[in-house]
Amino acid sequence: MEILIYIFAILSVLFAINMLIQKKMINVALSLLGCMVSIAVLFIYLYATFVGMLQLIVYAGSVMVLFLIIITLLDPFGKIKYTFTSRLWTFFVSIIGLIFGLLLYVIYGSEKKVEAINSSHFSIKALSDRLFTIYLLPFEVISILILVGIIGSIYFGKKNLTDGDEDENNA
Amino acid sequence: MDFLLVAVVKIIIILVFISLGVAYLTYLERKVIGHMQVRLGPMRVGWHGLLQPIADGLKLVIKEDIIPTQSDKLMFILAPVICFLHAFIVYTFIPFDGPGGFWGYGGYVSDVNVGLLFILAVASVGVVGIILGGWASNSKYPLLGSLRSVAQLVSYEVAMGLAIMGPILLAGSLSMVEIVKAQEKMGVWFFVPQIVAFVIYFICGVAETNRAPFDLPEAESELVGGYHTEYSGFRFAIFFLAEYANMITVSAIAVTVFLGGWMMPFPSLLKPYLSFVPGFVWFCLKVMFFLFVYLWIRATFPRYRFDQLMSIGWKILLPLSIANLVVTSFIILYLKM
Repeated sequence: MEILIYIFAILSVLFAINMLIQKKMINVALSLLGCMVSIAVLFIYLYATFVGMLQLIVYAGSVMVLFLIIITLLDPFGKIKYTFTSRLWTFFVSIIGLIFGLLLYVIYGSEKKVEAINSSHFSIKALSDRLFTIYLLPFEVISILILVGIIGSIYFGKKNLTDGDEDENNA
Repeated sequence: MDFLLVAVVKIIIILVFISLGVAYLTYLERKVIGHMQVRLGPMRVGWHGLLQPIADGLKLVIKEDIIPTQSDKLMFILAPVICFLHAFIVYTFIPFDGPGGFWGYGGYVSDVNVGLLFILAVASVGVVGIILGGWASNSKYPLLGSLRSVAQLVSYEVAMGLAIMGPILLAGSLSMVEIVKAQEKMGVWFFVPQIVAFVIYFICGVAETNRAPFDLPEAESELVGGYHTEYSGFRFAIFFLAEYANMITVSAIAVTVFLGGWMMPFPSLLKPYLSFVPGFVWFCLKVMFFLFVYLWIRATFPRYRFDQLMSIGWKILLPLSIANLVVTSFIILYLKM
């Protein structure tokens, strides 16, 4: 069964690379979807079925569907082709490099080892025990962060809406 | 290797069974609605039109398959495949019979501890096929249909997921088999203590499958046919198959979660007489009941407007399902204390 892990690991990397070199927006979104699904499969193979399911529901499901809705709304007939300029490339590569370096530092560099739930008998109970005891504060802070995000997006949406109405009234 | 062989045989059986079921579901739909409107329905092909679905299927397969020249070819071909895949993959986790069913081989392909979650996850990814189909056709009506469809699916999925949480709390597990066993242990099917969740789930299920009265994405009088307007021949048949398979899926989840899955009704009363009936017969009977209600609703109610649809989903069903979840958890907490 181990060969499947390698297949899906390679697939996720290939999808990610494809996402960067595709010109059409819809192909980019679908490559991202493929990448998400492969990662979900990897989670399931590591016995973290619940995390895999969350990956599928939240990222492959909701987030990707929102991306696709936005693409269909902004570009209903597939006319927009976008290209990465070299400045954008350097910008994104440096950011990704920074995050990757941070990740490596956390895993290998720091004294404190990252504590992982024993994955061979992983259960929702074990996850929620930790989530609602040790990690309760970060968990709740994140929910406030999301709330702020929602209010912000509504504000921007409404702002544009009233501008449009005023224009109509003026005309 | 034996384990794999059994699984493959089961998958083939389920695939054939569901495909035939879908074909005869279309026949049932035309017959039931026909009789409800005092018509006969299909009568010509075979006895009382019994071979009609096969004739329809043959017609769709041998019809010319048209791909619009201005469409995005790859996506146009990919969309029905995605829809079909997601409609059928969920049957892996639906228990047609108990662990001892199917002559001891187990009445399901697989039972994992997050089965119900997996079904919801796959359903949420399946929406991608609908968006792609509408977008790739490069035409007005499919695009509008797919946008409507996605807005509807996304908003009703929330209420549906929250409604299912009630029975999950009662069962204490996400595994489909465990949920049925919990109902057996409790002695009462979950639709009795969770009647609110059951009603919300069923309404959301009708909306999720784009059926009347929530069939705005496919409203013939407004959008020609919705996201599959430009599809023809075999590709259209695949979309069609996926949609009706989704209907069966929603009914099967309702049966498993709320109506005791493969168990017989009134076991104290009927067990002495009907214990020879295998579990999957009960399961199929219950699913058929749900499918009949689907058709009944279609023959009874007119279509909602889009703003009505959205306000039902977000202003009534969602708060109700959250309230149900809170009340259920408080009661369980109280009983445990």
